[in-house]
Amino acid sequence: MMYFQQLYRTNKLWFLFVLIFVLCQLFINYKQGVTITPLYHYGMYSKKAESIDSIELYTVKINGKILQPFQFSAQEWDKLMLPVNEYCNVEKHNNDLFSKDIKRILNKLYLTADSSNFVFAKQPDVFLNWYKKYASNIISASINNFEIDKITSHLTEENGVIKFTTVTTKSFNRACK
Amino acid sequence: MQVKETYRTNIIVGYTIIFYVLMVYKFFNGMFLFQMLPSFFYTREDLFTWIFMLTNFHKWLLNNQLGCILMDTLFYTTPILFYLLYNQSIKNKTSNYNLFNITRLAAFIMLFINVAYIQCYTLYPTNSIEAHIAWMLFPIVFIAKDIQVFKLLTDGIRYFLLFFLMSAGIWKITQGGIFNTHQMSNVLLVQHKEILVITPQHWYAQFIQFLITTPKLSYALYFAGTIFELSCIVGFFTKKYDSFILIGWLFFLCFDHFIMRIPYYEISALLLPFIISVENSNSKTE
Repeated sequence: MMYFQQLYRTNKLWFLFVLIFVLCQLFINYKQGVTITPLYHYGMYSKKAESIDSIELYTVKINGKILQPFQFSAQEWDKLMLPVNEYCNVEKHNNDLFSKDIKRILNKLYLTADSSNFVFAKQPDVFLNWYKKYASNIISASINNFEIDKITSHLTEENGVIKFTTVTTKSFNRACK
Repeated sequence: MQVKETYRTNIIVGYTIIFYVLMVYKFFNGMFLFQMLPSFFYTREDLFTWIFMLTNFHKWLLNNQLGCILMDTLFYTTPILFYLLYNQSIKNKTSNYNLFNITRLAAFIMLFINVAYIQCYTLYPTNSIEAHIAWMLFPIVFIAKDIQVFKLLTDGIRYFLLFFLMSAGIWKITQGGIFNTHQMSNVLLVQHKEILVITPQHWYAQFIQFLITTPKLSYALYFAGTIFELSCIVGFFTKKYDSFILIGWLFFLCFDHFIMRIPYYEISALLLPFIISVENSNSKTE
């Protein structure tokens, strides 16, 4: 309160600005829904993480060798894997968000929402062509052949050791259908 | 206590140093926009972002090397230009009052560029937008003309970081994460799935395995983090414990990198109000 009193006495315009910022930030947190830059939720792994008995992941094999996380920095590894992990789901995610929220909320604000601004059609072959060049820059080597597979692994714990057993392997094209 | 111009200078210098240290870090990790050259985007749940996306600017940058270079250039040059302008305005304050207004205009332009860059940058699969918040808040503080307002807005950034941390603790209670004794084990399993499956014999994979299969220990880490986050509430009432919060936050950044492999350093500039105080700045001048 002291802070707001001081700000009010010093400059009423900035006081109003900060007050609106604070109230909006609290409102965004209370609603727990859509955010508005620069007002976000800072959950940081707060959502209850359920136990799982199988896991899905992608592997990238370049020139016959599977890319290994420790050949790269954390940032580089994210750069290599995040596009692969997200590409197949992104069309559905963007589509769902557009039809569920974007269209409705922007229309309320009298803004015309064209789906092409928010959604794009996935094209696995185009992605793979792009990824070949992209990955080549990160690993600093030319790529003669490469494949991306989606693996489903079943996991069991024995004597404090987690064992992963591959149940299915799908090519990127098949996984992305 | 009277606030001297040195305080503003120190904050601006601190901001510029952190920005450029991170720039070097990102360059060597290939994190510039032109180095990533994105080809698709991930729409997030953000009303401001949706309005921004109506411009189609994010689509213009897709596979556009020149556009990405242009955006990188704008984003990475404005802080130094702003600093140089500010420095000049301090030197010539008495002779050229308009220069100070130009500096404020430069801060406004920096805000505009930062928001546009970060909106696009975080639409592509790289980093979370939350981590970039410092680059959107500080330029607002730099717009302030009066040194007293500047000081109060910088205090506002301090309160913001406290809120950031405290709300993360509250979210863990409301979303139930804190009541799940296997929370950290389950999070680690998903976070490091590639490491665990592809390189299970690596010492780091073994270490993560150990944490996953010892849920009491991993939960203790999660619990300790939550307690730290919640304890930040004390910062709203006194600055006496700021050094503890600062150390706790630095620990958090290191652990985030080491245990989660999440480099969250982008947020570092928010620590400036905890590092630079009016008292320190005044005593240096005297």
